[in-house]
Amino acid sequence: MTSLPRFMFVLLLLGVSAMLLRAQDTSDYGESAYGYSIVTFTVGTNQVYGYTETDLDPDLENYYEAKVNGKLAKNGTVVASGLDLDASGLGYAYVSFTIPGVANSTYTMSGIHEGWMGACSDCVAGGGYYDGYDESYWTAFNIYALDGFFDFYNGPYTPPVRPNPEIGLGTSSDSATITTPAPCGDDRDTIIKEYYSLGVTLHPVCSSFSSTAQLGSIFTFSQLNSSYFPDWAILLSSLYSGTANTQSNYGSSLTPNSGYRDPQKEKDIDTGQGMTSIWTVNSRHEYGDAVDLATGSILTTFNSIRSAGLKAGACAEPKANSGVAHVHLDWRTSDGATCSSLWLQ
Amino acid sequence: MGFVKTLFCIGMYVFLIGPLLEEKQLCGQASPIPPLTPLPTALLPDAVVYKPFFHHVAAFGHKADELEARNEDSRGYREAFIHQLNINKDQADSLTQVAYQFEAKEKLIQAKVHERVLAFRARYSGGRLDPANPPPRPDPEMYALFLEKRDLVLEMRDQLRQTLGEVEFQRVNALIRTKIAPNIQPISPASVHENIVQSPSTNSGGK
Repeated sequence: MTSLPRFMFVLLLLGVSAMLLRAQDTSDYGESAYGYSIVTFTVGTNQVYGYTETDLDPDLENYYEAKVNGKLAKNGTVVASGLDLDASGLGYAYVSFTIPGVANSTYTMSGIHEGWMGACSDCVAGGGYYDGYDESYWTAFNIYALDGFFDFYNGPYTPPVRPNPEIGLGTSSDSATITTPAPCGDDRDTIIKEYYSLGVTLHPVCSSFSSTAQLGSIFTFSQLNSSYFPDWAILLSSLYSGTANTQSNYGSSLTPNSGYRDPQKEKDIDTGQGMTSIWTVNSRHEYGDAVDLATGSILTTFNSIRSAGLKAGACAEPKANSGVAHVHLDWRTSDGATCSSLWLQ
Repeated sequence: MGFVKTLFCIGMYVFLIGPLLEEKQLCGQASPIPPLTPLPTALLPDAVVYKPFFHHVAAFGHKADELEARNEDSRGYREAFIHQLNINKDQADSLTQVAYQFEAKEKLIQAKVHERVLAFRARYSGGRLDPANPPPRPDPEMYALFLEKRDLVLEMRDQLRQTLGEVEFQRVNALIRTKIAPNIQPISPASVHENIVQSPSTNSGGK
């Protein structure tokens, strides 16, 4: 056995170990800061909400306090600003704003994320700082002596001077922007607000509504609109095709009892039927793809219409739920929703 | 043999020579340092994404609580995430509860962190440091607390998963990734360069 292969093997091990050590040394331990800024608009309350936060990783916390300076601008003009310094050691700082939204305006939330040297707050001239164990990384950020009195590296690099013990980790470009929608200018504004105020998952916009029935519909607009608002309804194309196919399968004309309902109407119907606390918040009638078809309370008619609906791809409410006075059909599957197996048999 | 030599050289370079060059490059230059490439937000780990998100949810929850205590309209704060994440009221309430739990547990960990930070700082009277005796690396306990906080974020994410159910969680998580995560940015070195005040007459020596 020659010693050369053994020597090369040791070298190989050393090389691989060195790579692993290096990788382990710099991985996982957080040595960074994060900025988070977001702005949202809620139609139901017509308010704009801005939020910005600075998060420091733990090695930075040894030396700095998280600080954030937030600004909320409307069409480029700052309308609210404020700052927060994590003096109590939470590990993060945040500010938030709420202002009334104005239609057709652009709102931008931005945050300036900083580390404030609490450790040096009582420093006299001559105080300094040290930036943690992975100095070179933060050197890349030009974080050096704060007051020019102390340079840990003391090398040829000339450290920048800051006027106060504050380090700009980043003028965060992390701004977020929204543009508020223009109002519809009619009853749709009231209906849209109902979706928010009554907690419906769907959040329609002006263009979600129509005021006439689709061409070729077997029912009129007023037959399909059972809401409190006679001029507007959400009527999805799956409802038109589904009802036409159901009627074709049934072989005779059908009569709708109810179609689109605005959330308040749905709630009033449900609570009127005794569902005081558990009304159907997300009824498909509010989504515009459901219809209740009259049966004359005849069981055989109920069964025939229900079968025709199932054949037309509908989710059909079981008799045990609805009774026989009407058949509830909806085409939620076209909207990406699912119904239980009992509604499909 | 060539491969072995190559591997060895790469390893030794990375471990020994690389850092030296890196330090020289970073510390020894008077010219501006080229900015590092920021981490794409799509690659941000869940622990980074969910932490400020939970803080945000909790902050809005507290605002709503305050308004309700004064019999004022709190809907805006209550509904902010209903719209943002297309969730219903019950799911929004669950999200707020998870965020409150996160906040409470994080405070307990952070109290320990703060205690250690204060102890660390106390070792350097007046903030003065001795260039000949640089402070040690952060206490291993700090590192353990960091991991504890990171694990807490993931634990609370999983609690949200359990509360919403797997299908709904996947849908909501996808929206968090597309609507929340892009608003979280690692601090960019370039932006720091812009922000630092330069002085031509700086005294770079130790006092």
